[in-house]
Amino acid sequence: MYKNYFFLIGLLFFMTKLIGQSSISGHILDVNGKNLLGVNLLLKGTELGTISDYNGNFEIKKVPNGNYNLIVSSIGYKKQIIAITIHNKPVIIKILMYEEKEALKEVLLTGKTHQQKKREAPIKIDVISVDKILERATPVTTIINQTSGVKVRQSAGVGSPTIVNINGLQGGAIRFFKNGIPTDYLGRAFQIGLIPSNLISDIEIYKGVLPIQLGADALGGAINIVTKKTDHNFLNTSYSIGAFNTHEASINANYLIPKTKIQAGLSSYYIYSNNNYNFEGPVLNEETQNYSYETVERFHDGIETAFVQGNFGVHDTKYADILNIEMSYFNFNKEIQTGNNITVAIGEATFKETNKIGSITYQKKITSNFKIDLFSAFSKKNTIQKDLSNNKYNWLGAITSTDNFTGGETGDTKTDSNINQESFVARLLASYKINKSLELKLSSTYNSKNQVGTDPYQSTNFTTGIQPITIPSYYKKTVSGISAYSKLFEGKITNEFTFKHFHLNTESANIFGDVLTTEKHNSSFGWGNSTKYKINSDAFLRISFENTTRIPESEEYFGDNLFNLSNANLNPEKSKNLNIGYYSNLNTSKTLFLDINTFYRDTNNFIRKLPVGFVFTQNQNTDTQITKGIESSLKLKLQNNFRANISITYQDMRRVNTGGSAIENSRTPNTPYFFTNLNVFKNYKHPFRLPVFIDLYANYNYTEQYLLTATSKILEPALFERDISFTDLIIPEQHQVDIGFTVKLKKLPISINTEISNLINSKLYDEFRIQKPSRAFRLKVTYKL
Amino acid sequence: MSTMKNRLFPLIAIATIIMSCGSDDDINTNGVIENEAYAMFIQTDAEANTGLLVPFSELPAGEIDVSAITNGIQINAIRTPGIGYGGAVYNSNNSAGNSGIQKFSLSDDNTFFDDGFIPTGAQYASGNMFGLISKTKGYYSNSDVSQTAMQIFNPETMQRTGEIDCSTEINAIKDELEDVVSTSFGGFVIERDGKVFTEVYFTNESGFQVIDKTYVAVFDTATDTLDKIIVWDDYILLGYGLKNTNYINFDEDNNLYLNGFIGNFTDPEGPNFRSLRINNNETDFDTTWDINAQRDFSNGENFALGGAIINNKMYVKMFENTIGNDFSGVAALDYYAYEIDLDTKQPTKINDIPVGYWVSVYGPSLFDDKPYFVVENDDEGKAYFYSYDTDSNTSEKEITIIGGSPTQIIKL
Repeated sequence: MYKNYFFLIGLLFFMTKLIGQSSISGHILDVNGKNLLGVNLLLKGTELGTISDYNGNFEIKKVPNGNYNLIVSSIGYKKQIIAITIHNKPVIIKILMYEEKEALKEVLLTGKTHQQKKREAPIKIDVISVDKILERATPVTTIINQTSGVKVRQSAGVGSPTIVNINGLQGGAIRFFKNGIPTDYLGRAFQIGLIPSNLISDIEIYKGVLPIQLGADALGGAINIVTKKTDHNFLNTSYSIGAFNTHEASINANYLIPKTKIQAGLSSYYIYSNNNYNFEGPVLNEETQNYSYETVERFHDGIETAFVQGNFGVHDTKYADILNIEMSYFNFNKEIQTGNNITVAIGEATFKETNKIGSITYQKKITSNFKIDLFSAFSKKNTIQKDLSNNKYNWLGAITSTDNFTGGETGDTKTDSNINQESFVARLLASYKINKSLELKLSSTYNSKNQVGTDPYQSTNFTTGIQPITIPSYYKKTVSGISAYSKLFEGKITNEFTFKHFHLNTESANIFGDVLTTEKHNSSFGWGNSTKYKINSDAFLRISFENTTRIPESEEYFGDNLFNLSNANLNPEKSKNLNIGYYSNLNTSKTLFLDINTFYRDTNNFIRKLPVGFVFTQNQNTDTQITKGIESSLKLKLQNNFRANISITYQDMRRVNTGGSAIENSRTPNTPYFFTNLNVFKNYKHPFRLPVFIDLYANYNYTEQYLLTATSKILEPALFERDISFTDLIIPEQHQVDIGFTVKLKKLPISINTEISNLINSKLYDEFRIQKPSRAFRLKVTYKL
Repeated sequence: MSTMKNRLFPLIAIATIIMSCGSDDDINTNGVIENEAYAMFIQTDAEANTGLLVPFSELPAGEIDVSAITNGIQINAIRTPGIGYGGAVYNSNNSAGNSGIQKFSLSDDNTFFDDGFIPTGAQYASGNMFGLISKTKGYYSNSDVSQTAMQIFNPETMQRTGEIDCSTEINAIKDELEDVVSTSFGGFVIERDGKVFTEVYFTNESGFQVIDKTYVAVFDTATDTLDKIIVWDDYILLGYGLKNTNYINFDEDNNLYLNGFIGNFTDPEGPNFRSLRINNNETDFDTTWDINAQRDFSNGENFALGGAIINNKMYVKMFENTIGNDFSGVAALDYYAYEIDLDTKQPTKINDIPVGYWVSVYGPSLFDDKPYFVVENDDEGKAYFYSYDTDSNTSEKEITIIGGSPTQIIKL
């Protein structure tokens, strides 16, 4: 009996449910009549809700009879609350959504990536999101070289020295940073010619104006390598193999230990290469002693290097947002193949560097508008250079003569140097938000280096008989700054003003006179201002100016106590840098972007090593370089995952105030002045219904010929002129084509990349007319979580 | 060597010359100089040591604006100029700056072109040494090929043709000395009447001469053999190891003078100008005559470079003050033209040639029987050549060079 009862009760319950409910459906569109997809609908106080479909339709089923408030919401639109009564009949409604302009703006701003914010800052910063292309085997130097206004030159293959030119200035005028800290303490570990892309999140390129967070004296610009933050889990590990017996392995990982506030991580790389590429080299006929050019192979250019860094710390604690300790070890072994002269093949000289580094990072948001960031690092570096051979080699790798030579392969004397350097760096960065429109920042970076070494072959000072390398020297530099960042007229204008102080305290060997060492102090100031004016939502104008300084290095002041004389009256180099830029979307669909930047640099007191008589040299302040240039990028980004980017740079760098020399107003030598880059990319999702993603990309880079030596204007070739007599002193035009593709598996976090650099096997040269690698093939496998 | 805190040193001291009225057609309206018989090496970038090798139709005179020259050849390492011989220039390095014997010949469009190169490797005092004997024979040294053999080459074909083995004689001397690591030829190479003279070095690990003696090898060019090695009892870096320093000169009687301003840089005595003589028809040092500045010059001058000889007078550039063994004072505006009487061995300042800085290591050369002195001082952008008339004892500003720092004029 009771079974029937319960059945009846259940049936009645069911029927009640069935009869006492209905549905709410309808159509949602905006004021322009456009159907709105993805609008959220929820009956307040219930779990009944839905989302509108592609046609703007929605339906909420099985709504019990009653009175409800239907909450309708979508990003960018004003939220609405609609009163609805359900009584056994479906309710059909039409809803019109109104844009919430302010809300949209806020969402857009807060929704911007860190990289986008940097790109749109008042200071001109080009940001390369390396994290997005780390599956590629592309070297970091090639990645940077594709940026307008920037030229990276490398004298040979993997691990060879690089020189970076940013808007006309290069060498010591460009400084390098890791996470905003000058990289001096790292030695070669984070050199852009070496570090794999897997260890990098972004590369920031600063052109002409530096924010105070980058605490160094840079005349022309800076490159800041940004590594992944340790506030989330990640893992990427890769192995690549390439031409010239090149092997590269890396791992970059971070793990947040669950239920704790502890994180631990590991970053490491290992690189090995023979760099044994072929090139047109001079081979000497031993009988006639004449050179003939033959295809030869580099035979003593190998490199083996390893870097290991472990980090451990805590996050989001009461006392620290981040407290991270890093311990690193770096080892670098390099065979030396050439100096600046390709006629001499070096067969035995080597260079080695080891570095042990410890650092600590502390970040804390003290209050909602005040935060501090502290970093400190100590490193012990040792470099060993050996050049002891009594053999002379030719480019066939054969020994042509053996004797007791006084000189070495790389210089006039043999070398067996062993130099120890201790470095310490500390940076304090504090920022205080006074209100929504004004933020102050304070930064101070202290950098010191102590150095001493031995070399039994170094010449002794001919007055005292002391070897300068054995006298300890130190170099201490402090760069401090304060900046004010402000937003005006509801953010239409953003402005950043910076004021910097540079202080130097250095001591070096003085092996004449009564005191063993001599000191030098120097204090300089600099300032800058950057303004961004937002013309509309698609375009903005940017103007920045900085009056900055480069403090001379220790040896520039003190010489080498041998044949390079000291000059205590040396003044810092100074530069006035002006950038004016314009950025705009060029169409309403926001698929075409234009970025133009014009730049002007007035750099004076250039420090050059000049001869004194014929025996000595001395570093002196000399002429001025005036640089005027324009760089532009046109970027295309289509819906079908096709992207293209073309950039063109022309920089006219002239030497002036040369003291009446015939090279007055001549081009600065050994510096490219016209170059272009074209890059195309296409992504395919599930081609032929395969569970893979495929990226195809290609890059073309052109560099116009440029002069190796200072040449008077009357002898200077015009742009694209080829009828020139002194071809030995010209770096010829360069055409480089690279192509590659990456296959990413859908179901596994694995990608495989293949890349061919210098596809057309053209002869590429960089500084000193030393030929770079020919066509090279690379294969890279990456596992990424 | 002091820290030289208060010295000022000009970037480039340059002179302006207006081409003489008597040679209006020497420079055409395009800035090209025609009918060349001379050449000048002019440095334009002091830091990079680059500049121009410029042809001239006759001995340059007047004002030369380097920025207007269109037929100069651009050369690296311009501060080590070469010599003229048989209508060509034989330079100490090629356009790219590699050490060697670089032959530059003149083309029909009155520019120099590369006409052959032989590398010579590094030499003592960073120089490289060669000498021309005839149109088809020259001698040169290259320690990378041999430390004990003088090399022979053909200037016409610019190819090495053989070598003269001196190992027996050199090793015999080496065995008598201590701490010798390497040997080499260099300093200078000069030919006279079928004999070639060149210095021989016996150096230690640091590259310094191991003994306070000067060794000069004497070769016979008819048989391409070594006659002997002669010795002077005092070590002097004769010729300084650079071609065309004009430290090696002949007088009108064909006596050969070999000069130098330093021995080893580590010598406690420091700079000391010395001159040795090998008389005509002889192959040994004249032991009855030499100049030693520290011994002979009565006013303490000791740092002289040069020089050309005429009428029993030698012409040098020299610091007025004594230069210490730390080379303090070398950058000061203190560098004058002097005439040294070869009999009394006393220097006399030539007062109407202005003082200059020590910019070039090259000594005065003789043109039209007059020594030519280079002067560079605080006249910005200018350098001068002054000639000295030894008959009238007067000087004249012959050439003003605007925009460059000259090292040498040579006759092709």
